[in-house]
Amino acid sequence: MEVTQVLFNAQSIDGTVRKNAEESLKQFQEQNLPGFLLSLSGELANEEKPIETRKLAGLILKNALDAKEQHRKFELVQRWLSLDATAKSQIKACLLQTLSSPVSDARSTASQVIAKVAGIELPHKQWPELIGSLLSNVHQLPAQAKQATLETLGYLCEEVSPDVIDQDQVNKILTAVVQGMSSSEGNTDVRLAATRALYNALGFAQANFSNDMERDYIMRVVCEATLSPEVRIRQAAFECLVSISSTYYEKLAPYIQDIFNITAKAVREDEEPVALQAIEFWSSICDEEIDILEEYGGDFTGDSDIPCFYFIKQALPALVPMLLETLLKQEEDQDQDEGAWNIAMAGGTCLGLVARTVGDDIVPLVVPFIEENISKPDWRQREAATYAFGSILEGPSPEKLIPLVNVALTFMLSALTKDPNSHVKDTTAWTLGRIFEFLHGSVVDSPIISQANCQQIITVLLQSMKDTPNVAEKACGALYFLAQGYEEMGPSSPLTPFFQEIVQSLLTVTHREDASESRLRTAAYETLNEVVRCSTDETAPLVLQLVPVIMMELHNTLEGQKLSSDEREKQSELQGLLCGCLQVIIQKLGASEPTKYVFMQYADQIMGLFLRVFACRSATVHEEAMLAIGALAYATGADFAKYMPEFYRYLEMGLQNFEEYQVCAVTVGVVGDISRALEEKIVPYCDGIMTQLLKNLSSNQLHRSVKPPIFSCFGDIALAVGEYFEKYLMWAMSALQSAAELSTHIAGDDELVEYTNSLRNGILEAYSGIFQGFKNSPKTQLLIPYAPHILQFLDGIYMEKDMDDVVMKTAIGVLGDLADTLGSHAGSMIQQSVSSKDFLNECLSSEDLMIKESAEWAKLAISRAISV
Amino acid sequence: MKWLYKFDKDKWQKRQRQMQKNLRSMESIRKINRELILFFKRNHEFFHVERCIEDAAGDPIAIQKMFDSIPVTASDLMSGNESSQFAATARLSFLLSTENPPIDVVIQSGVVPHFVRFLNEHYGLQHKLYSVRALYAIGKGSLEQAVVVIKHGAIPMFIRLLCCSEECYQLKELVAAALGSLANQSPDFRDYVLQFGTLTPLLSLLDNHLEPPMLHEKITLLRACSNTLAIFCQGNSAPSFNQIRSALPILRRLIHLNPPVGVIGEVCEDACLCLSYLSNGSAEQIQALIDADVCARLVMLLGLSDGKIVEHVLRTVGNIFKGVDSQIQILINNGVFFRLNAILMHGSNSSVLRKTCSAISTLTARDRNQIQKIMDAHIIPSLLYLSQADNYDVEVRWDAACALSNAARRGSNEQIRFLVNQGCIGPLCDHILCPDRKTSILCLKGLKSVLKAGEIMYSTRNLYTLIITDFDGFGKIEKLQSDPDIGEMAMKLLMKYGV
Repeated sequence: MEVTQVLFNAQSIDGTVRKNAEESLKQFQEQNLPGFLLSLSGELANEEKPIETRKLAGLILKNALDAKEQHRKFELVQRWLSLDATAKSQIKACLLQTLSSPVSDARSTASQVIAKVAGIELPHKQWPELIGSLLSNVHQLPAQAKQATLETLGYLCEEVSPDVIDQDQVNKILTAVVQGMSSSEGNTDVRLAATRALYNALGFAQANFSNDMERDYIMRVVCEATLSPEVRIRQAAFECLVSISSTYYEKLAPYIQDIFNITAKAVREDEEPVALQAIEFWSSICDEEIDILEEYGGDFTGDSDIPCFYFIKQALPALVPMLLETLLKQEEDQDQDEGAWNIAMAGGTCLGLVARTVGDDIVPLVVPFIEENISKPDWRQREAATYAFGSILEGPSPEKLIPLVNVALTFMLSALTKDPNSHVKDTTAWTLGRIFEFLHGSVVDSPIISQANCQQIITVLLQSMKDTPNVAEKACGALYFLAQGYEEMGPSSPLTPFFQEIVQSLLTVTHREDASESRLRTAAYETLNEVVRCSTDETAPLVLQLVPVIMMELHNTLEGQKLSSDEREKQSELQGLLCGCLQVIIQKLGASEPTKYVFMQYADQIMGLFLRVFACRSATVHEEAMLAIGALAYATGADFAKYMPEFYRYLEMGLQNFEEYQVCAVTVGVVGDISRALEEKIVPYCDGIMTQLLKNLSSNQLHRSVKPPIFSCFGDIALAVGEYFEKYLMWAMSALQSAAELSTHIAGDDELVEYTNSLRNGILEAYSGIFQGFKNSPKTQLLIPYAPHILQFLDGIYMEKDMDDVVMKTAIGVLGDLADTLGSHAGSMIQQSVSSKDFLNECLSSEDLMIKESAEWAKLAISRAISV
Repeated sequence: MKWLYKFDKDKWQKRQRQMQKNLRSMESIRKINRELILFFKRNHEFFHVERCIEDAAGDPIAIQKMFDSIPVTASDLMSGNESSQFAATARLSFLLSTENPPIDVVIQSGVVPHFVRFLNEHYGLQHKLYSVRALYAIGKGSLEQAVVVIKHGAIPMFIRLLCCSEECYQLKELVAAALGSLANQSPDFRDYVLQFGTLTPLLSLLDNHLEPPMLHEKITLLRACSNTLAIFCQGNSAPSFNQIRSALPILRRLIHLNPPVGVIGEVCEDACLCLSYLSNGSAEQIQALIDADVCARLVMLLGLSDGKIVEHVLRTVGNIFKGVDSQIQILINNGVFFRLNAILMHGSNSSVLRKTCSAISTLTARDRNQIQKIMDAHIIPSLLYLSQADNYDVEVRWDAACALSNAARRGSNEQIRFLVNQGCIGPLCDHILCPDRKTSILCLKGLKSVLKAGEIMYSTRNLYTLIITDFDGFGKIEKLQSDPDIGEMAMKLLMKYGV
């Protein structure tokens, strides 16, 4: 097969030609994978071939090695590993050869493919000679090949995890990279490639950063690179500094003064991409110190692993003025451009982080700037002053801020209505929101809002909701926090007299022609929800009146004729907002018996609307509607049964939606809600639901995050139907058992640990539900055969010592459930388990009350089981 | 939502944000509900123990199962988990209230001190109720079983509960009953219980619950207290009067409860029983009763003409009749004779009639003064009627005859003539061969007194001899000659008056 021609055709403008070519490529791949990959690598390596086909060959090669979806990626890796060794070594030879190509695109493509192959093979201890051969003659190479080699090393470090490369090889990589970066390197491309490679290789340099000499050297080279005449190198070098600041925070002390000088210069003088990275460095230091200080504050006895060096506090007198300067560099129309990110924005963000890091100390440094600029004729100065004020509202103590806010509030309210500049108004509204977010509510001792100014605040905010979309959106946000601050303030809310007016204004906003700009409509509904959520019994009749209003809105979205896909998207989004709003209302009114009783008159109609929302789509279900139905189920209780015949198909459809895994996850949760509402009335639907859930579990296409909720859902169903669960017991237990085996041991990063714990929790909740569901039924003996494995699982996770508190509580509860339900049948089995001794004792002496309570209960259940 | 930055670097989708918030709120509701259901299931016993017991109540197999699991239940009861303790207490208290309460098994399981411990403020009302019920049941058992309750310090705890300011009628009712059941074991037990000062809270409890509205639970509480009070007052060896005389003011209020029917009637009945015990003593004791101003009401209560109340009052009246004249006079002034005569004429209950007769007997046995009052009250014809009526138990006739013969024995000649004229010789002769020795003797003595009087009044011809002969009196007296006790008297009579 003439690959070149097919690859050429595959990029044709003619659709038919392109389609045919793609088809034959696919056939080739399916019929002879080694041959296919080999000819692609040959194409890429062949200097006589046109650059377009070489590039495409490389790209297809890359896509044959990696995919975004986990399961697809896994498949590709397995396929590559099982490929004929000769073919693989031929392919790899071609790839390495391409690194010396004079054609830059070919080299770059080859670099990426090599990294992908390395990503598969190195963890399996294959291709051990790769790094050696890349580095063997790096010094003698022509600049282009050198650049390609460094780029490859960079990609490689991105692709593989540090533990699969020996320190010896790491040293060699770093040496090559740092040498490539140094000022002695004459070729800009080489130096840029080296700097970018270092960015990825930093994670490998743990040992090297612990060695003073090596670290000094690396830091010197990086700092030098920030002074390079080439802007891309300077940017890449600052990116390295940002990465170092979070990875090697504790090693920075000797360099921090120099880094400050470098960054200050860059912020003031350099081009924007460089200046943004320089600011980012300080934001990153703030993040580190906030984390460390939070750990200090959280637990005085156990210090953080890393001490705080108080870099921000020390740099404060110089850092704050530098950041304040950036605030004056706004761009026109930045508030309208949703994608905008400029130095003023970055500077304000950093200032906010600094305030959170140092607290009160920042206030005297910022106040003069505010005072000087807040009334200046130039909008930039007024906006910068307001932005500075808004930025420092989180961090400093209320005692320090409230006197300022008391002075500023009236000014802000007047600026929001009267300032001629929209940026200023936008930032003012945002600042008001921040004031309400941090300095208003039950946590603050001296309230900044009194009966006197409450009316004024609301009037101004409602007025501003008629302003331009961006200002109106911020005003909605401010109202959101104003309402939130009055949550749980007792039976009477200061907002009660304004409730009707607020709701009306928010509804008016949602109907604005320009409500889709600046996500204004979304903000208005979000605020409406919060106002409802935080309302008190006084306004319950008004919330009830809102029900038919929102229902009518939802009804109106269903009236549309034939819609374009764009319109359909918008319709769906609006339906989402309205269903979300109904959910909040249902939860609010469902929370107390009298309001629930009145609300129930709407239940049939609301459910009817939700079903019609589902009917708008054919392939999938509407997430928000699904979730709102879950809320409705709690309100209706067992009466929900009357909706099941119609609703069931959508439930099933949701469960079948693997692609949109959030939809699936939401639906799984709703199955739990409905089980609790219907109890044994869910039995007629159990066959379908359980079949689908088991099918989901056995699929490797389902996103892993849905699995823990599915297991919890087993527990919910078992609790609802009791011994009727017998039908599914064998299948459910086998799924639980295999998941349990997988989740006993964790090897991986924090994210995996977190996931595994959530999986364990789901499994344990299922066991609890099944045991308690079967309790006191004549069929409890059916569970006996599963007990040894469950105890083994409990022992296993106990011995791993890496479970979180939630798992601990659930696990010890399962031990109790097992003893409770099986009684004497499991007595000796329980006594032999580690869980019933060490684990139980550990839980009994836990400081976590939930764990302790679970453990007390388990202890009792066990003593009962073994005393018979 | 948190407004960290004015500018959202991450292009956070607001729609997602709202969805996330709603999702989180549902997730937290789910978590709470899931845990709630598990909590209910895990503590099923606790929340369903009452229903379990109800179901088991009519089911011997279920009860047997509960019997068999007493050791497990006991270990639950002694565990640290309060809901298990509660459920176990409920179960044991149920078992102890069944027909064959497993008192010894329960005692041996070592839970009794825990029942006492559960009476502490820390435990819930329902828990206390079950505990008291269990202790009550054990206290009703054998003497040895009741000792266990006392040994573990139940009495002071009971008294604390009686005194507590909360309006927990049912609990206090049970406590009062439990104290009563302990006191009922023996006079020693009773004195032991009283020694803790139990009487005072019991009386004030009664005192505090006598005001309307008379709710049912209030009345049943009163009933339990009055019953226990009655137990305190009674006993073969009665408690010292001084120990319980403080009950008199309350007793006065109790007998005034109206209408004395139903449970209120029972309270009144207990109070009357107490008074009958208290009146059984010295003149000083009787005077205390009179000073407590109970007589008028007691006499009025005789108007009920039937039932336990009347019987108790009759006993009290009988006791007062043993007092000094002034004390008797108080009753008379309150119309006691009218009431007694009404009973004699219209009463249908043999026991009441007998007690009435015996009260009158007490009086006729005293002196001519009292006999005259009886005669004046037209009671003699009623007694005569009863002494011959055959529609009551035979003992009624005997008792009526006794009352008459006492009058004949103690009466003046004039009074005896009145009695004979009324027809009293017939009954005395009728009952002289009565199987009841006391009646028999009294009749003989009565006849003797009549003959004696006749001798004096009719110096020439003792008319009464003829009347007795008419009733075959001497024939019957003849038959008594061989009697070891009264044979001699019979013989002498025959020799002196026999025809």
